[in-house]
Amino acid sequence: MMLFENLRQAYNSLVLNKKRTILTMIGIIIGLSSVLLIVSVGDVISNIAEKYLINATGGNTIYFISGIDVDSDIDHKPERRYPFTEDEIYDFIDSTNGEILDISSNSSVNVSGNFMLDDKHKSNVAMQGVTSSYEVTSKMRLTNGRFFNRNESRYGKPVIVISDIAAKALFGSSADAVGKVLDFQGQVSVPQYDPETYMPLDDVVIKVSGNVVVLGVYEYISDGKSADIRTDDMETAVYCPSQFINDIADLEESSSVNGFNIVQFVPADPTDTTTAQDMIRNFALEKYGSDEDYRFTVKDQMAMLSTITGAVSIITVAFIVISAISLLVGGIVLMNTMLVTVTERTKEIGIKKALGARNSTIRAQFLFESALICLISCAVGVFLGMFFGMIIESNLDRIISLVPNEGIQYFLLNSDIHVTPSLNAIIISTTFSLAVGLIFGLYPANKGAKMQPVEALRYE
Amino acid sequence: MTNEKKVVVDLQGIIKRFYIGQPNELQILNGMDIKVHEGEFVAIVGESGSGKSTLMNIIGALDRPTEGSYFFNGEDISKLSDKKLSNIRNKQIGFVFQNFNLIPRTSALKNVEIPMMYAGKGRKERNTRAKELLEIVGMAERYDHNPNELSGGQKQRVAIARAMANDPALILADEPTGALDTKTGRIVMDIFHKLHKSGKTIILITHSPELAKETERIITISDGSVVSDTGTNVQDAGGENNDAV
Repeated sequence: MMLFENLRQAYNSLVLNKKRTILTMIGIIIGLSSVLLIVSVGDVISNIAEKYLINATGGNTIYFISGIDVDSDIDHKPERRYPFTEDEIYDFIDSTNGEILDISSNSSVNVSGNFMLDDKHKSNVAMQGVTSSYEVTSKMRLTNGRFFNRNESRYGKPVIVISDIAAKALFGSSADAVGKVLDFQGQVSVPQYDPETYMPLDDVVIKVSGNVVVLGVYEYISDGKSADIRTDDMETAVYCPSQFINDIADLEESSSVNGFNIVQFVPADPTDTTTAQDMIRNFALEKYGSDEDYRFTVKDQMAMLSTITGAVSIITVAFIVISAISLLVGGIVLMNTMLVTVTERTKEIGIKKALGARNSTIRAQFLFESALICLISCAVGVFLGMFFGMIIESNLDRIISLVPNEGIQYFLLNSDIHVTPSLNAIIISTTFSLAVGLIFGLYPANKGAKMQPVEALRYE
Repeated sequence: MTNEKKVVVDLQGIIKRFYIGQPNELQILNGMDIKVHEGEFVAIVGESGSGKSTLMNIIGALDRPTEGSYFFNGEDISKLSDKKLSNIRNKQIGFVFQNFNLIPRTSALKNVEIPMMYAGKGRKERNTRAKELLEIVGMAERYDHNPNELSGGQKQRVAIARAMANDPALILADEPTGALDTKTGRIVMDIFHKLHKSGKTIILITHSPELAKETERIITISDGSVVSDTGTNVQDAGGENNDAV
């Protein structure tokens, strides 16, 4: 009953002082839309970080870092005196009864060059070294033949998997490709790092050639989702065991690394990696556990991810606090406006009190008015937030081109980015602005409520 | 001719001081005793500065006396809380002011409805009653007009309808014709006479002796004290406040 009447009066009052109302609202709208924008951008960044990590490594992998506990001594490099050889790692994987599928290939080594069936049929593509788990983690779909298995992966057999596009170009059809032998010649660029500082040095280029057998054909999906991001400048990638590239290019020799300190394991169940993690811990302690100084890290990507999204949300909260200051200023403007309104309507307050309005009736009326100002501002702010989000979205290509890393650019262009405020962001900012309306409206409303009827009636 | 009537307003030794404890302390009312019975039409007359307005504020429960007791319908309301006083103003007292004091940008009908809204009456009941009251004061066809679309006399008639909204025990009119010309002032006074005949208790506060003569009892005040009272022809109906007038 009173609600409708309050609404009517608040609306009347706002319409009566249009300019003042609009100026007051602008303050709140600015504060609100900046809070909204920050929350949305924070959401977008967390989402992208999540997608990027999962896409870049293909699912939830487990990091094993031997020689360092990243949670306690983050500044240190993993110690080189605790390596594991490839044989030890593969034997361990064999002993996990399928809990761990394979190690994940994060090798950036690939062969670029020509693949030839005969003089007429050749394809200028790149051969990428991966491990057998790549079929699962990249969600690749094979149309013919099969992917190489763990043993072929481990011992670097000369086998490849090609795309249906390449199969058609070279052999006429996917079915004809399986089992065929291809000649290739090309080169391998081996990234070099300073063993002390880990700073990148000039790549070493090694010429290679040989024969490979086509094991399988995969379906090429052009949206970039099934392809590894490192294939951005290739037409369609050819996959071979990374160990094969290591062997033909003699990388063991050139990289001077004897065994691994950092290994990425691919678990069978990406959603629950606790068993696999326990196995890795036992495996690490079995070899070096007697050494008191030995430290290591076992963490799955989701844990790494939550570290990153945690950092993003801390930054987001910090920005929310900063932008909330503008909302605070908007609140003060609102308070000032309401004080003027209350003073202007002193006489009306007096009349209402003479007619039997209680203090609470008067207070509710003015609180209603300030809340209404804030809610309207909120609607406009949300609308503006969506509008700016749409502008950012339609100019996303240009914004992404400013990103310094080409791999990330490629990834961003192929991910579905929406910069519109989430429901969460809208709820947060609406609650915020309503709170501003009530908190900053309370003082003026109380001032009106506590007026003495006699004095208020006398006011001209 | 005497008959027994309930006492509506019973002021006993009302003193009102302002700026208490300060060098400019001021005593406006010097211990007033006034008693008004149910159904009486009383004029309180006094020149400006006589304490008329202060007295009206106290009778209307808009202000509290510094000393003394105010029995309204037998209940001492001189020390009540803001909330209880607003309840009394809402249900027991109807105000008619010199400058109408209608709520701006609010239709005549809504203005009449407001006291009923504060009393918690339902929308339909409010609407029906407000239309009835506007009919009584002859404003039925203008119920949807806002105050700025009404003449002074029309505004005052709406104000009277509003004063009647919760069927109060007392109608308190402060110079109700003061801002009106003779002709419209006449119409307004006629309405008060009509209400009086229907049994309403009315206190009319005015500085004009001619207007006062229309009532059945004139209380004259000067310098915060009652200087004359033409007296009443009714007696108190029982109760403990049985001072003879």
